[in-house]
Amino acid sequence: MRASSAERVKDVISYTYVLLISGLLLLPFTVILMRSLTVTLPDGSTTFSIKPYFDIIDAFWPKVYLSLSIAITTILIDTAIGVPAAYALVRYNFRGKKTLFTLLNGVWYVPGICYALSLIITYYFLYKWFLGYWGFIAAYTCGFLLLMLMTCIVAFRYLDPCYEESASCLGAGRLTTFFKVTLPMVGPGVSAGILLTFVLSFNEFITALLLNLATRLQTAPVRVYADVTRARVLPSISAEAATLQLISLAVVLIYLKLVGTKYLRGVVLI
Amino acid sequence: MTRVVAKDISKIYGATKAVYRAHLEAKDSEFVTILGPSGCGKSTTLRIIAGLIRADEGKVYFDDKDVTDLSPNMRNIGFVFQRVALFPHMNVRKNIAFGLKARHYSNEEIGRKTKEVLSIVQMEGYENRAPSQLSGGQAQRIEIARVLATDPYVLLFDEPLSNIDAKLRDELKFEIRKIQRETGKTMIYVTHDQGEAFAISDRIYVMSQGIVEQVGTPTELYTDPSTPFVASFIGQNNFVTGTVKTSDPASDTGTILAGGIEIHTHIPHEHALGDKVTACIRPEDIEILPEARQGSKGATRARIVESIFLGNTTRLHVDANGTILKVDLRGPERFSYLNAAGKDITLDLKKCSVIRAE
Repeated sequence: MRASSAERVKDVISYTYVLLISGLLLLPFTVILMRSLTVTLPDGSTTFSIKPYFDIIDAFWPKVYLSLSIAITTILIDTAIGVPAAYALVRYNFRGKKTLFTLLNGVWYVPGICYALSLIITYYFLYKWFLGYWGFIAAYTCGFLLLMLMTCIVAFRYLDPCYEESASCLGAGRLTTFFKVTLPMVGPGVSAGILLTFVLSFNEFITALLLNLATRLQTAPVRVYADVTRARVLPSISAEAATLQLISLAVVLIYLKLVGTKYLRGVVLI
Repeated sequence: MTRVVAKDISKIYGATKAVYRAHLEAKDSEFVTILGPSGCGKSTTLRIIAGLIRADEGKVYFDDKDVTDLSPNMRNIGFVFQRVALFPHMNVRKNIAFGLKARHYSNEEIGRKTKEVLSIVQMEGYENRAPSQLSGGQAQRIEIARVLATDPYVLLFDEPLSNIDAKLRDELKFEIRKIQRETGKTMIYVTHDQGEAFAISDRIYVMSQGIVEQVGTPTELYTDPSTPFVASFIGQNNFVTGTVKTSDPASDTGTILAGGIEIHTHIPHEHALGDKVTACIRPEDIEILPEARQGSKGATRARIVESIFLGNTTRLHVDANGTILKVDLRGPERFSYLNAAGKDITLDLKKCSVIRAE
């Protein structure tokens, strides 16, 4: 009896803790969501309305499309580069492998603002023709390649080489083995890289802000920042921020539902 | 049906000789086992034959064809791994079809072959199961079916039963042997389990520290080990080191004086008078002589130090003039010595093999 009540107390404490943490994490989003749905009427009273979401269609959604386009193009290029590179890094030994890993990790320790600034200077002096959409893509591809690499490296390391060896002994060539055995088996790991690259590139702000000065291209997060600094936190601006969060949240939830958390372990989030 | 020869192959990692000048041959339709402790180089040897590892030295031949530089997919081999390597995203049918598709078989042939090999491993009706729905033994059977389907020149097994429980392991090892007899395939099997090796092999290569110590049939290895390693690795042995005291080259018999005991036995002619040798005496080969024979030539007096009942055997530790020997008793005799510590007995030690002392 005593053990049972002790268990109950333990459960209550555990659930309270989890709820508290969840509440803290969700609080900013809840506040933004509430603000975006609260409209002030001409008589000064307030009411709930989804009108702010309609108000932003013309001005904000093109920025969302631009951000989506940049994120998706970045994902495509990073996947094309990252998957084979991670495979080579895991499966083959070569001189300087450790140094290469250290250098790749170095990207994490460079402050975003310095990274963005160095890119702009580079573009100005070397590739002025890069000052546009493809400048963004180049910056994001370099910046987020490591994410894709790391998740794919984790996935390839999880994969026992005996499957590939088995395919080879059964008569399959390298390409057949890679596309029919290796890739399907590391699919969840690659998709984790895609997820992280999407969430971070879609919401990326610092580099986008500085590149906005140079390229005149304004992504959705930069638009939210510009609107906030210009007109404070109006319901329509809150609707912009909530839209960005909802898109990211939907993508993450779909991923977790389909794949789970296994391949995110040891990477960034979990 | 193919003869496989690995000629003087070596694989060296830094200062470690994983395999050193090993020569291995499996004749047509022969079941050859590479036996040895962990790290002796047996799996490396097998992987070199498969082409999964490139040898630093030596050649691999299938019949008379040099396959040393061919990748595994060009060798037409079947390889069964220690860990079941069925592709988890394919069902049994697709797993079996994988190798056949790589060889451009038609769908009709794939269907026919799949049925045929599933029947060989007695797994008909499992075509649509996912690997995760199979037990360890079933998965290993499907793995064997998958490699059989491609009609390989040679089947290579890398400790395929080591992750399976003892009872099933016992069944599967005989099934593998049965499949080998039925299909007539040349098979090379790697294991560290001598019971497994003895039960299924035509010939066994015993390896230690990267080199082949001895090759022979199970009986030859057991009764006539040629090196101290083989003598100690295969079964249980008493090692008694001494010198050759008398020798009769005509009959290859003589006497070894070791500590306080004299052993009258067969002594190979390469050991001359005065040579330091080791007599390897199996505990089950030591006979306790009845009173009537206690005066016979080669009889050795001893005292029982300890008696341990092990079920089907009683193990005695006896002191023969200062040399402690293990003696195993089987049959009804084992019950006569359950509480025999301190009892004086007479032993016959003549059934032993003599090797050069280390």
